[in-house]
Amino acid sequence: MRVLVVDDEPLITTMLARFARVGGFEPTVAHDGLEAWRLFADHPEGWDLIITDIRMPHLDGVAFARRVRASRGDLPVVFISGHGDIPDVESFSPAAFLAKPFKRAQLLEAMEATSTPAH
Amino acid sequence: MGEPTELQARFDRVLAVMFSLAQGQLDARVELPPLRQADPLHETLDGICVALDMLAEELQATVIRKERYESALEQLQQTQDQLVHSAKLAALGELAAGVAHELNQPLQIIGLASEEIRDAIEEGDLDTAREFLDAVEGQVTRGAGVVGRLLAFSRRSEGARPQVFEIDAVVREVAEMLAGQLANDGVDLELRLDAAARAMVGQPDELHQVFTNLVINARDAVRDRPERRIVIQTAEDDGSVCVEVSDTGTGIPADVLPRVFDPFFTTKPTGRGTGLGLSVSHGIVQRHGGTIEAHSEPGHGTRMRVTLPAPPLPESP
Repeated sequence: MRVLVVDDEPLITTMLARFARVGGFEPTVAHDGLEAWRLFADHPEGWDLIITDIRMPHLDGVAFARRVRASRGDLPVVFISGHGDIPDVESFSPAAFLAKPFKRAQLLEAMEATSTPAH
Repeated sequence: MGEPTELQARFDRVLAVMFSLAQGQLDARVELPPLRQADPLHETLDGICVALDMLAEELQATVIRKERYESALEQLQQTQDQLVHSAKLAALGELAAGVAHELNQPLQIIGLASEEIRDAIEEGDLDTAREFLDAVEGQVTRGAGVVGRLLAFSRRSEGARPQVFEIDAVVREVAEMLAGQLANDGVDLELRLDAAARAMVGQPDELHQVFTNLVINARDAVRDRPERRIVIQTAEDDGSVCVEVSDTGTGIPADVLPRVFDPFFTTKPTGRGTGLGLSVSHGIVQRHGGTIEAHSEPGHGTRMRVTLPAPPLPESP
């Protein structure tokens, strides 16, 4: 499972990537929406999951996810944010939202829930 | 012959009234019927009595007016202080969302690091545990900084003694407080500080509020623009320092420009702005003996210019 981890806080991407690696995922990190978009666009089919912060410089997480949706309608997205701004997760399905600060177990749950097709 | 005694009594009365007035008993009046004699001395004395009563009347009225002015002035001062504080709270509300993020980031790192530390300890990997503890400590300091800046902002400064300060330091604090939020909104903030050498006297907390307000307005103006850029520039000349906040925003239409300092005037959506920010900023700058001007050209951004008096310091030997 290849995961793209996007957050403008390097300590957060480092720890999330570490956690993902321990969980058997193959993480790649980006620190803003634009960098994430470039990584994604290089191999649109090469990803199984995206974990992205929302408020970030250059391109925010929601705009990034919208671009992703245009080419990969099935790719699960887990939004993470410390702001109150909860994206319309329904319109992004399969997607989940986690408010910071969250625990690793909550993240794992969200990753599994979005990756498993409903019904 | 009672005439000399009557005359004497009249002089005594005049004297007594003058003493009473001098002692602050302002309702004292001579109030005696005119004397009947038609010689110049009596006429003059009558005139003195009438004139004294008129003066007493005028004095009393003036004192009452003065007391009313003073109480109105005091009330105005209180209202102004309350207004400054409510505007500050409103600005605080606008800051709150950004602050939530600034606090949740370190909390997130602390939370994840704690889980890592627990794992590392269980595995006996104390070096990794120490590494993450360093991260925790760093994030605690970061969070405390956010809270400290917020507290400094919400502090009331009414009645506070004037302080000596540098305008560049105040601008730098504002920039530090807002840096995280601006970066999140993809806004570039550039500081061109060139008034460091000038000491000023006034209320730095209040000016902090003014510049915060100007930067928040600038942020709101550039938020939906392709180029999002705010420049804060300070400069000094002979008798003043000048702080300019300019943005690459939508600009202010010419018919709106004259009203931007009016209380309760806002172009922001309901719930976003109180319309008090610029009006209170105007009051604060005025109390510092300065001026605040808005220059704008629709499509070319806005330049807010605050000029404050700052007499040059005597040259050190």
